[in-house]
Amino acid sequence: MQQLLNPTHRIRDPIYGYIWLTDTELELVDTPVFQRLRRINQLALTKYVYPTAEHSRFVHSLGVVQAATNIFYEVLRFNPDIFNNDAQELQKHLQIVRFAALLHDIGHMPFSHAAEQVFLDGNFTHEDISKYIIQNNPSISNKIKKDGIKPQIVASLLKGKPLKEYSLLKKFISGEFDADRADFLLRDSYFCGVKYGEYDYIRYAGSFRIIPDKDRQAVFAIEKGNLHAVEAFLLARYHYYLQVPFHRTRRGFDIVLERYFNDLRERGKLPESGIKIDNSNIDIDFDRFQFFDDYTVFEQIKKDVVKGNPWALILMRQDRLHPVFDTERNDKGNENDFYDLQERFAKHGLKENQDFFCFSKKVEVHKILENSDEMGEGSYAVVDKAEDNKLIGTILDHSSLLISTKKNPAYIRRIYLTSSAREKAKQVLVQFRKNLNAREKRKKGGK
Amino acid sequence: MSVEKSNQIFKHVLAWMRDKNIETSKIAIQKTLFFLKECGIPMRFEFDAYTYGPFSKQIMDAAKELEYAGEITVSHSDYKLTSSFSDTLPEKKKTNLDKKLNKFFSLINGDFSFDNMELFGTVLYCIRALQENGMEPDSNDVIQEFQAWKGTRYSDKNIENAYEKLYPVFSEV
Repeated sequence: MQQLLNPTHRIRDPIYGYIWLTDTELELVDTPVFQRLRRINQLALTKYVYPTAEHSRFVHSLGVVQAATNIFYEVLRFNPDIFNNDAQELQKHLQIVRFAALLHDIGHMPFSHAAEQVFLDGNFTHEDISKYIIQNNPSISNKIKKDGIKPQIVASLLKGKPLKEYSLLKKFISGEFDADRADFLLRDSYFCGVKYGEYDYIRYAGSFRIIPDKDRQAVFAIEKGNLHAVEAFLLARYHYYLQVPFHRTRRGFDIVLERYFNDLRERGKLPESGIKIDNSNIDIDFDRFQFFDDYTVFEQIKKDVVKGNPWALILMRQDRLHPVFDTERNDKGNENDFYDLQERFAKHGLKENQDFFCFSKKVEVHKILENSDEMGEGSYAVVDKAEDNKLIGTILDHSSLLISTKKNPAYIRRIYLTSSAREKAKQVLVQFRKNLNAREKRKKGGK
Repeated sequence: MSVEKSNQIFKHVLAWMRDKNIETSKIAIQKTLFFLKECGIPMRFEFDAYTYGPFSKQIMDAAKELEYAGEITVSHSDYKLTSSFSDTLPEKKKTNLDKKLNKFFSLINGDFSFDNMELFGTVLYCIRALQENGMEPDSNDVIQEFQAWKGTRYSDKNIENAYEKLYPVFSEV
C-alpha cells in the first residue's frame, strides 16, 4: 500500500501502538484550543463506576485520526480507482479526513453531553461548536489553509452540507460505521477495563467496498465475507452502551450533572464558557474558551459542596442516587409499573427532579436496523466479491442474527431516589413491592 | 431546541398537510421540514444528502415515536394520521410556521409529488452546500453540483427553474 502522506511524528498509544501525525497536525495539536481537550474527560463521571476511565477527549481525537486512516487505506486497497486513482487527489482527500478526525471533538463541553443543553441553549451541539472553531479560530483555520485545504470542507464533514466531491469522506467521520465509533469502542473498553466494546478491528476496517448507487454515485457497502466482523462491531456497540453510558450508577451521575447545571443556571452561577449564542448565531471568545473544561466546573462544584449543595455533594462522590426501580426488558413490559411508582411517589409528596428521578430509554442493537429511506428501502448494501462485488441486498437480508435482535430492543426504565428522600419513600416502596409480589403470586397461581 | 419541540413541528407539518389535502408521504414531510430548517426554524433534525436528496434519520425516529404513541401509522412510503393524532404546537408558533409552509407551497406550485420533492430538496441542498463553501452560486454552479449528485435524471431546465424559485429566498447564508 502506497504511503499517501508521510507523517513523521509518532505518539505512543495503547490501542494502535503508535499514532503518526504530520507537521501540520502536530501544530494543530499544540494549539491551546486543542490542548483543552486533555482536560475534558471522554466518559464524564464514568470513572466513579470504572475507576480507570480517566482518559480524555484528547487521546480519543488522536485515536480517531489513526482509525480513519486505517479504514481509508483499507477502502483504497479494495477500491483502487476511487478519486480517479490520482495520487494528489488521494493525498488531499486523506488529509481532509485526518483533519476532520483530529478536530471532530474540539467543540466538546466539559463533562461531554450533559452540559450541552445548558451551555448551548439546547439549540446547538458540540459539532456546531467544532465547526465554528475550525472555520473561525485563526490558529486552527490558518494551519489547515497552509496545507491547501479550505477549513469549510473539513468542517462540512462534521456538520453541514458537504459538496458531492467530499460526501464520501463524511462516511469515515460521521457515518454509521465511522472512525469515531471504531476508536471509542476499543478505547473506552480498554480504559474502563471491560470487554464489552471489543471487536475484530482489523477485519472490520477492511469490511467496506465502494459501489455505485442508483444515480451511479459512489456509496459504501459491506462485503458479504465481512458480515460477521460488522455484526460483531454492532453487538459490541450495543453491549458497550448498556454497560458503560447506560450503566445504572453512571446514569445516576449523569442525571445529577444535568440537575446541577440547571441549578447553576437558575442561580446565575454557570461558569463562563466564552460561548455566546444570539439569534441562532454562535460567537466564541477563544481566550476564555481555551480554559473552559472539567476543572472549571469542578472548581464551582467544590465551592457548592462547602455551601451544602446536595447535587455538588453527589458530584464529589460524597453521596449518590439510589436506584429503586430498575428494569431492562426486551418488550414493553413493566411500563405500567414504572408510571405507577412515579404516581405513588408524587401522591406521597415526593417531587420529581428533586426527590426522585426517572430515566427511560429504548436501546436498539443499531439504528441502521430500523432505518429506511422515503421509499421504505433499508440502508447498508451488501456486495459479494465472488460475483465481482455485485449488490446482493441490504445488511438485513443477510444477517439472521441482526434480524432476531431487531425484533427485541431493550427497554431500560429506572427510578432513583435521593438519600434525603429515602426515608419518606420507604412506606411507598414497601406497598409497591407487596403489590408486585401479590401479582406475581396470582400469575403463578393462575398457571 | 428539545426533541419534544422538534416533534411538535413535525406534527404540525403533518396536520397542515392533512388540512390542505396533501398526501403525507415520507418524502414530502422530509423535504418540507428541510425547507423549514433552512428558513431558520430551529429544530433538532439533522439532514444529510441521501438517496433522494436531503434526509433526516431523526424524522424517521420521531415518526416511530408517534407510531408507538398511536398517533400515526407508518407504511412503506407514507404516514397516516389516526384519530388519536393531535397537533400540539402552540398557536403563536403555528402562525409563524404556516407563513413559511404557505411560502413553500407556492414555490413548488403545490406539487408534492415524489420527483418534485426530490428535485426541490436537492436543489436547495446544493445552493446551501455551495454557500457554506464560500460561493454565491449561479444556476450553472447549481446544475453542475446537482448533476454530480444525481446524474442527468432531471433536465437542466427543471433544475434551473427550481433554482430560480428558491435562490431569491435563500440568497443569504
